[in-house]
Amino acid sequence: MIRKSFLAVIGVVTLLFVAGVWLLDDIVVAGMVEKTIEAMTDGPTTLRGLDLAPTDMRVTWGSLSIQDPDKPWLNMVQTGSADFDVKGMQLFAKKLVVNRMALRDISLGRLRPGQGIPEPGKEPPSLRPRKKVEEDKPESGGGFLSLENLKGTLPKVDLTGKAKKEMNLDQVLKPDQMKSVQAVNRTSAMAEERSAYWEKRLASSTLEQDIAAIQRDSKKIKMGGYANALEAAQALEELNKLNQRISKANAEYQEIQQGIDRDNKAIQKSYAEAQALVEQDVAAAKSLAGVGGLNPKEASSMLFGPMVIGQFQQVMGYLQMARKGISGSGEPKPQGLALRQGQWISFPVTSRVYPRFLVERIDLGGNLIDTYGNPTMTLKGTFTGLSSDARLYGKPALLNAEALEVNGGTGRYVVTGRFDHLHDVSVDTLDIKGTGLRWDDIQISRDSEGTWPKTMSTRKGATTVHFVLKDSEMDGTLTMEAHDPQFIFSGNPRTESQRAMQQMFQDFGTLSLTARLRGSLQAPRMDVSSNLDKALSSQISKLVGKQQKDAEDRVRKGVTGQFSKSQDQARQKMDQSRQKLNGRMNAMKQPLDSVSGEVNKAKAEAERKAKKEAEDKLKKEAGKQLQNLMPR
Amino acid sequence: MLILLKSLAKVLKVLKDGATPNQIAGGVALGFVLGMTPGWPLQMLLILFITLLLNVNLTMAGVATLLGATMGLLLDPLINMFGRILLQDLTAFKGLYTAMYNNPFLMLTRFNNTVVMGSLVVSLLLAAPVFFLSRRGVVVYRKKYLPKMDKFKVIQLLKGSKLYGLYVRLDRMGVMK
Repeated sequence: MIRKSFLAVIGVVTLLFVAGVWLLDDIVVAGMVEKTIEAMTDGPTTLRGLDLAPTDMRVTWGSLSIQDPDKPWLNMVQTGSADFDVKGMQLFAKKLVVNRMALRDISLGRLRPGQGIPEPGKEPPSLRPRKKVEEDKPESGGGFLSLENLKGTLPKVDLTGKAKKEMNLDQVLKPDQMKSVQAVNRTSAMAEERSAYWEKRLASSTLEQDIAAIQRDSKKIKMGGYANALEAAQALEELNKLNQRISKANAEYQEIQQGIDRDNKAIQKSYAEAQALVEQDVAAAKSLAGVGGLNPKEASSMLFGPMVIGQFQQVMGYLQMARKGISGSGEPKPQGLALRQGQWISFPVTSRVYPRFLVERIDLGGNLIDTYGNPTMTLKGTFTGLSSDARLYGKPALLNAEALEVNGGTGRYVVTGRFDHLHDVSVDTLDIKGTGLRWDDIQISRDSEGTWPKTMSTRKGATTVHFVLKDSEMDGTLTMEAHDPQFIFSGNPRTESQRAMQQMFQDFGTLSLTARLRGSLQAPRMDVSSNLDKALSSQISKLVGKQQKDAEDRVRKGVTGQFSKSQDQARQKMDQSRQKLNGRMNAMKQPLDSVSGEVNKAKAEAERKAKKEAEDKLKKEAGKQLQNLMPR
Repeated sequence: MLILLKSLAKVLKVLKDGATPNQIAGGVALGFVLGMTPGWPLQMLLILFITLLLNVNLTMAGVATLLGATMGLLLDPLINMFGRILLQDLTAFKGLYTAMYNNPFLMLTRFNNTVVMGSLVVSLLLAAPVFFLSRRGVVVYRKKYLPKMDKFKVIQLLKGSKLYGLYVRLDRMGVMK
């Protein structure tokens, strides 16, 4: 009943399988690890010297390198040996779960073997990124791009004054682009529109005719010299009727006049606002003409801005790498609706569910290695909760590390990080504190004329970085302190201004710099300040002071001239239409007031006459009644 | 076309005298179970192992796999519904399902898929009837219909065709083996 030949075949297959596992397990696991890391970082990953012991699922490797997808001549991360155990049962669910890993020797941004550093913009074609970074996506590259763009917005100062001398005001002052002129034009248009409105309102109203009719009808009524009470009473009746018409006309007149007054006030206010925009136009024109006066606050941005941006870019690079790896919850499994696909039914989860990739704890050790492979610092620390699905894992990833300078140096870095992706809005925080640092040749500018320092060095530096990335909003602060900094210039001073500038830098004692980077990844804002600000800006002012003032005066004169011209034209037009309207209103007001006065006077006289006659009559009647009552 | 013809000839040969009725019926029953369940969950590897281990007819197992797959496709809505009832409505099994669901190795059986569960149970329930019906069918075929096979018009047409002639010639030359 049993196929004996098949049993033999099964025996052979089983032997081959065991031999295959024994020989190929390392390749399979290495491939799995490489694939997982590549998916997390986008960087081509190479794992060397991997050895898996299938009996206890213990893994060791010799080295791991993750190539930088943006700079293929560098390894984004390179590590030395590692030792860890894999949860074998989870491999059935295609999950790589590591309880504890010991990792030695880490280098960030190390040069790949056999590759020189290419000139900027001249990357070897063979080293192009394997996977194109989607630069438009804010979560992948938006931050870097935006920071790169920030460099273009840093303030610049032209010490040669060449730009100011060649300044062409006609190109800079374009009236249709000036905010103040635009505001005057808008106000003028508004004045015209309101004037036309009131003209139309008066044209459609019967007020002028009503006043003429009142004037005409008033002449038909006797306005005084009443002979008797009857005549006075009759006149009073007509005067009351006329008075009602006068009140109605007066109310309409007042309504129109108040409306006109309101509009005039608004127009005056608008003109005043336009005046205030002149300063903005002057500033814009100065900027266009390259006559930007250097605000003391901008001095550090100008000089240290590119270096600070570089530092922030580095911090953000690692934050974004962490963010890419530690993603939120995975996509829900799609429910199959096609034939033979069925539906997946879920049951209560009683055992621990692991994410696709999890390393619960990494013990960091060994050294930090520099770009050229030399150990610079000893490293000690932990990284916990590195997972592909933080929500499923339930804890944020935490980094705590300390690095101490080797070879008797005093440098010390303390790094703490918290990568919280448990909620819809992920919050990544990184703090770095460095003390006793030695900085050699930190690049500051690319100046080749000897005006600005090219590099800075110090034997005693300190730095702190606090960076928070909340969803796509960032807030980072960087401080640097350099004692007795040495500023290196590209050459000896050739002009007086260069000599003064170099002297100022040579005499400087301690440089304290603070930079803050805020805003969204797409539109970051950066402020840089240092204790060099005041000295630097006053030095620059001294050097470019007169040229600066002349150029500023020219720009100011040009802008105010354009503004005054357009304002005069607008005012002239507005005055004309206002005069016309006022004339029309006055033409109505005069007869209305005059008739109203006459009517009121006549009314008073008629009332007086009627009252006196009534009193006399009453007295007479009362006397008669009294006589009748007396006994005869 | 030649492959189809060869398969048909092989089936007819098996039905004629190539294997015992039990071997044929065993192959059909196991092939039917294999065909009914989509994909290759863990339990299907076990069924395949049993099929290869037991001395059942593999030609008929292959044919039954195709028939089982066709039947599974046609009955998919019913199987899907049945699977959902088994997984969701049988509360007595909830503990078992939960234990299996939490075991990564047993999850390789893909038992929590309605079609996998439905088709597995349906095919296992039908395996015994399929076995007995097939065995009976083979016996009846050999006794009643085999002697008259050559008289069937379809067979005559088939044997008279050029394609069949070509097949026979190639078979004699050993090309078809």
